[in-house]
Amino acid sequence: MNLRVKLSLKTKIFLSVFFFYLAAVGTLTFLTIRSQRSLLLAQMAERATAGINLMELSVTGALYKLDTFRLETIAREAKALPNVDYAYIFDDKGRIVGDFNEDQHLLFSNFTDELGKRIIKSNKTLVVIEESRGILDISKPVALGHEKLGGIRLGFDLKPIEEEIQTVTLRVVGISSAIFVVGSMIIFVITVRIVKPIEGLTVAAKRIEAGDLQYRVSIQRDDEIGSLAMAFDQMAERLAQRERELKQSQDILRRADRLSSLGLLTAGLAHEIRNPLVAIRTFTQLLPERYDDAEFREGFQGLALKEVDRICGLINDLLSFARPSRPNVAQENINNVVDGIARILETEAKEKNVEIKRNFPAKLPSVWIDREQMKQVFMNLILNAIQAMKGGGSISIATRPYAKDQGGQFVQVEIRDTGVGIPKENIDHIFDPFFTNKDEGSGLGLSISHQIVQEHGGHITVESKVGVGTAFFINIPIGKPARQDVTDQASVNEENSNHR
Amino acid sequence: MSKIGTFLFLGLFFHFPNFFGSAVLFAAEGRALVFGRVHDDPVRSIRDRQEFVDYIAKKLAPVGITSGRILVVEKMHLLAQALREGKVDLFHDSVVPVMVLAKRTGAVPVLRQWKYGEADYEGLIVVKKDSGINTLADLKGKVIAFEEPHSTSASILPRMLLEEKKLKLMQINLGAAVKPDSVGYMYGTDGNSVNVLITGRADAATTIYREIERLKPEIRENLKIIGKTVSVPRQLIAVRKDLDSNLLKALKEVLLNMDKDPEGQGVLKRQQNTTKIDEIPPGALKQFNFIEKYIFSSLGKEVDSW
Repeated sequence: MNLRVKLSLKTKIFLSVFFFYLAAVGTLTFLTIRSQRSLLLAQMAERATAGINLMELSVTGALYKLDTFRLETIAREAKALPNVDYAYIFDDKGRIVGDFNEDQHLLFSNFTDELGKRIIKSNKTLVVIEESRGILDISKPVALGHEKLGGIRLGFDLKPIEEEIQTVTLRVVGISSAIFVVGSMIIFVITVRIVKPIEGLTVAAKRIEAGDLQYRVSIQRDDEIGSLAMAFDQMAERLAQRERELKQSQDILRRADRLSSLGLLTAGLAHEIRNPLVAIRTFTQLLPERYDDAEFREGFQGLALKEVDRICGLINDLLSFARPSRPNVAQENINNVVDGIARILETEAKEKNVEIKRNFPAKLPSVWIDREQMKQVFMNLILNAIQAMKGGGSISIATRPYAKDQGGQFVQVEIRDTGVGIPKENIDHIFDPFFTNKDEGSGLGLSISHQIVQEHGGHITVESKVGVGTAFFINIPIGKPARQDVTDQASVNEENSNHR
Repeated sequence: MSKIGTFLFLGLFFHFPNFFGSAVLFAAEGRALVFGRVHDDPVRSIRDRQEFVDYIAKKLAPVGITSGRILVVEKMHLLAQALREGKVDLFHDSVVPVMVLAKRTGAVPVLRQWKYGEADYEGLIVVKKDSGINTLADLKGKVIAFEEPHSTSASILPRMLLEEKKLKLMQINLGAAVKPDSVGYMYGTDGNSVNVLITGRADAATTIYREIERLKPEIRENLKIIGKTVSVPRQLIAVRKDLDSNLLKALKEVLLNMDKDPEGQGVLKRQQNTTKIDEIPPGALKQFNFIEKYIFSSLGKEVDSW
């Protein structure tokens, strides 16, 4: 099970710095409190040491003489020391010979606690903090010359210190919390300030990746991010320039492709135009002789008009196909577009003994396409199909709605021929520019068709079997494309074309 | 028994074992050298002398001395007892206490200590310049302040001087009247008698040159010396009567050579600014006898309270 949580860069940076800062503030707080505690305890120990040293001055002589009256007085005088809880003076045998308490009930007895036993044996000042009893116990052996005479033991109540430590702790925690909150806010602001331009760059990169090459980051900063944004914008500008140049090249190629297609149709088209013209000429020659023949005249008129209309339609279709069209993405019925191209190619097909079959359902969702660009696609595919059937055959053109498993509603145009088929090893390369199996042709037709369909948000797939035939499936999405670049790019192409 | 009485009893009860028990004199293979001192401040007494005693003990290691200890008692009779019982080996003091302890215990003064760099010193009797007192005879009907009763220079020697001048001494309490034919006297504390004079509680005071020199110039210039005692050794070092002769010989050798040893010089300097220790001048012994005689004949039972 993958428990990794995807976090944004802002969250990662903020959390990293936040936790580091939290650890730093926490550690500092802890150390400050501990240091304050140590300091306060050290101060108390220092005061206690000063007190016990002062007592030693009085105690030494009295202890040497074992003047218990004086020792008792000195022990009681220890009450003047702040926070003192007990005061004992003991002799070299560990017997208490001076007691802080009025009742003197411990006089001449020995310490019973473990610390007391340790103190009696010790030859140095001992400062022990007994947390459980809340006492700072300080003891000092008293010696004169080379003789240990006994010692002094004082206990100081830690309660005032603990209260002070508590106050200090509250104060430190309060200040630390305030610093932490302010620091966190500053960290957040800094994080946002660092990450926001990066997010801007990410958005820009996505927009550019999606084709919006006019998008710019436009971040005005003097730091590295500012430099990065500037570099990014420059890169986008160069990319846009390259894109424009590429589109220009593509446009040239597409026009060349269109003209190439027209070239291939020339012979058939000439025949298609000459036949009606010959008929019109013949009738025109006969007209003076048979002018009075109303039937002939009406027949001639009807035939001439029909043939001229047909020629005009054909020429219009050719002109429409040949001239650079204004970019125009509009809602179209794909049947009409495919049928228009099939009509143009029918003469060529007949010449090659190829039958074009149509299977267009009456109800088909309309698609948002650039009609002229899509015509070029169908022209290329149907022409290829005709050329693939040297000895004749049939081309089946069908349209249908189509839904992809992964989602997406399309209109599918199927162009299936009974030609030679494409060898398996060539299938993957047929959409590569300049790849061709034919003796004639530029090798750009399929590549351009593929590109046009892609620009419409669609895709082309192909099925082929050598000796059986090939089927192309052109899938065009239903609905207005989210991307407007088809129109925009077409617009750019048009402008470039006009400039030439 | 009163509470104070209980404490005194308990104090003595615990005091004596400490007092005697601490002075371990002989050990199987060596022993401590015990230095005796009469003083009411054992801390000061011990701290001032421990280095001195340690030095001597260290030098006496070849004769079986392993360490040096100091026994401080408040009264002279307690030191006498310790000397008699062999629990103190040596002590030092001014001439009078040494004479008293010598008389009582048989202790023997063996060397002279140049305390404060002085081989000898004398007692002085001073008055205020404007007091109208010019001679010792003028002290009749006046009050003189001595220091401690057993003080050699500021009590015993001045008393001897006054009595030599046929002046009759009578002890008085502060403010009491003095007979016109007598010299009233009162005791002060060590180094304090001049203060009694300056503050007007006495007409004369006993002191020594060193004390006068330590006074502020304006006070010093207002004082006048009207009497000067005989000169005596500044301080004597004495040993108990039964001290082992080899140890005594070694002890004397160490003490006499201390000023020739750099370490010993330092120790001496820090021990009351002593410059050296030497033999007692032969003539001084006669003088000691005279002083001893005066003490025990003139002061009688007063000496017992020292």
